[in-house]
Amino acid sequence: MTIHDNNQWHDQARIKRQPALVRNASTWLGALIVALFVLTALAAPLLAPPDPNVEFSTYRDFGHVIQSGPLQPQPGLILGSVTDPANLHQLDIWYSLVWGTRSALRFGLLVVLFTGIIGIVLGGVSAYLGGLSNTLIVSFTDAFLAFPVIAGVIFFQQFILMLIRSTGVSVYLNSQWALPDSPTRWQLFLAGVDPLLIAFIVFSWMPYARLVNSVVLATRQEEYILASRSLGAGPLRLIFRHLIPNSISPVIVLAARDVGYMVLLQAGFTFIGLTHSSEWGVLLSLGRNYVIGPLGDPFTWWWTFLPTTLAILLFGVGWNLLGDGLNKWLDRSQS
Amino acid sequence: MSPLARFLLLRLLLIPLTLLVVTATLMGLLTAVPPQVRALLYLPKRALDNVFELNMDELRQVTDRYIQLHHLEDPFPVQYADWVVSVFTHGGGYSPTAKGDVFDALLRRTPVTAELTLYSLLTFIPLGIVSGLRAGWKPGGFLDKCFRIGAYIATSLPPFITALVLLGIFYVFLGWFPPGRLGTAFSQEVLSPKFHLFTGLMTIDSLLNGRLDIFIDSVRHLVLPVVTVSLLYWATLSRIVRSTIINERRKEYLTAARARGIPEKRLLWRHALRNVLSPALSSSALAAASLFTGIFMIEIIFDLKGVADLVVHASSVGLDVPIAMGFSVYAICIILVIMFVLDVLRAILDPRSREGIIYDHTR
Repeated sequence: MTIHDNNQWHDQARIKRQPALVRNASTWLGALIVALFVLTALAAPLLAPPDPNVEFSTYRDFGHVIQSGPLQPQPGLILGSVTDPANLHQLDIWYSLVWGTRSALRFGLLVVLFTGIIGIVLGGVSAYLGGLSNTLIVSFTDAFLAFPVIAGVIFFQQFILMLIRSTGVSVYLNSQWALPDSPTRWQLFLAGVDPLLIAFIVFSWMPYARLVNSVVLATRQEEYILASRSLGAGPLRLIFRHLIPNSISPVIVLAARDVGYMVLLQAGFTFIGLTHSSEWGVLLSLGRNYVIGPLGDPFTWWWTFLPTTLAILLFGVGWNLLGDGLNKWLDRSQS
Repeated sequence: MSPLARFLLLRLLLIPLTLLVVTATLMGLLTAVPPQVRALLYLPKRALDNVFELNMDELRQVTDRYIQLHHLEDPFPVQYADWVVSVFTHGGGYSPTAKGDVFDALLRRTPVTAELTLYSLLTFIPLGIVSGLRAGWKPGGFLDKCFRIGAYIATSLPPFITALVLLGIFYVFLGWFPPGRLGTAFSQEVLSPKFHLFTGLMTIDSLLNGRLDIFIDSVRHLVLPVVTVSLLYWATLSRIVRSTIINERRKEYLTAARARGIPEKRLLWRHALRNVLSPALSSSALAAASLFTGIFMIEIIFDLKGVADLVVHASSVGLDVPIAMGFSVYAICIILVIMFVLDVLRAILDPRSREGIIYDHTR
């Protein structure tokens, strides 16, 4: 029996021996993947030009084709099409993948931005105040941790339907409703609101609040804060100028991972038919019907599910690698 | 009072408190909706089933009566108190999609979800603890490397893609594990009066009825969803166990025990294990809500007709506010119970956690 020799010094020595490029390979890979998605999103009008004669949509209808099964990749239809069983129309996969990247990135970044802000403000202020207010805000945060996002999504779907109904619009079966001929601004706003986005924001800020809370509680008593306070800095200045900027880096790590996670969750909720919010999720839920080809061959209609699956997987992996890399970098710069 | 009893009592008090905070927030949000629409929460079967047939005047009369009855124009605390009472007395209200009281409908579907949850927990908690321990005991070793790759893959795969891949292999190709809950013949037979439903859990009921064939069929249908849920949560749990044990490994009590000549195996499974369980349990308690969401998604993908199927269907059909509110209450209750059980387990296993602040999961 040997006594284990991998103590801290040994571990660090081993890490040091690797060249920087190898050590950071996964981080660069993550950054590269994320950059590719960002570029795709920015260049969407060039990569998949929308038809100027039709009202803009993130789906391109390739028309009703009398044919059993999706159209294979061909000029003008880069990744082929998938058949929508509802109306037997063919949807252009490449087009929705590209525009789906844009909406996925927007969704992920918006969720993270808002949850981050709510979490930072609540967590920072409660830790600064301390005492009873801290206990109350922390208990409030913990209470929300017991609430699953899926229930939140259903709640907000119904909530927005109720708001729409209260403007005098009737809601028909399958949650369908039509705007009146001259809609008010409020009705237009409600029509554009994504219940999923709101639910994700309202029910996932808690980790940020807890994180910022614990960091600020730890730094509150550091000397530079005491010095600033003794120089007459007010609470707002202390919180927003000193305490929060000094606790922002772990928040960024959490946020980077969350972008991927939120988009995967959005695609998952779309896949199970809860919403139509994610183009990728819609594509995959249509493509699942074609996983089994004739004679059980899974690759007859590969283009209906493989590119979408890869896009979703890469998106999650990319943001995760980036987050892990930021975390490593943060650990090293602190020690 | 003993510290354990005090801990349990305080922890128990948190359940109604959490329920109050969350439901009051939800109801508070709902006050943004005018009472005429909010009355949908309370409307009876007659009115809701015939919304399209009633003429405007009749509907307005019914609605006005319920606004009066449930104080929908009174200050918020009154409204909220009335809603709490109505949840207890009316079973959550009438749901037009479920064609019945919300809680009745939810509880009828619960065994399906409970069965999946139970077997998933029984799979991934032991698996997560054991694999995390083995990997973290010798960090950088062969087992650790395998573990890290496996955990990375498991966390990167979204559940719906895992499910598609598993179904493709084990259902389409091999034909071993079909989706759904039971085969067609058996699902008819289960509904017949000859088959007694004791618990609603098919795996247990079939054995109690002495039907081995139904038992085997229900297990075959459960394998893939349980594997998918377990893959999703095994990796998160065992990563926490692994990082805990890596820190724990260097502690003096282990060095002292090692110096006394206690074998490595005993050190790992006796001394270290106990100290790793507490953070593992508290992280599981924190993840209970996300587990709930994950199980619901997987339940729908594998076509198990459980709670999620009912609720998602209701939400896509149209306005069904009672089920949205009822489902929220139902979900929080279940998650709080899971959290409570895990906290109690932790308090029993780890005396330190009884003494501290009652609700510190991370600090």
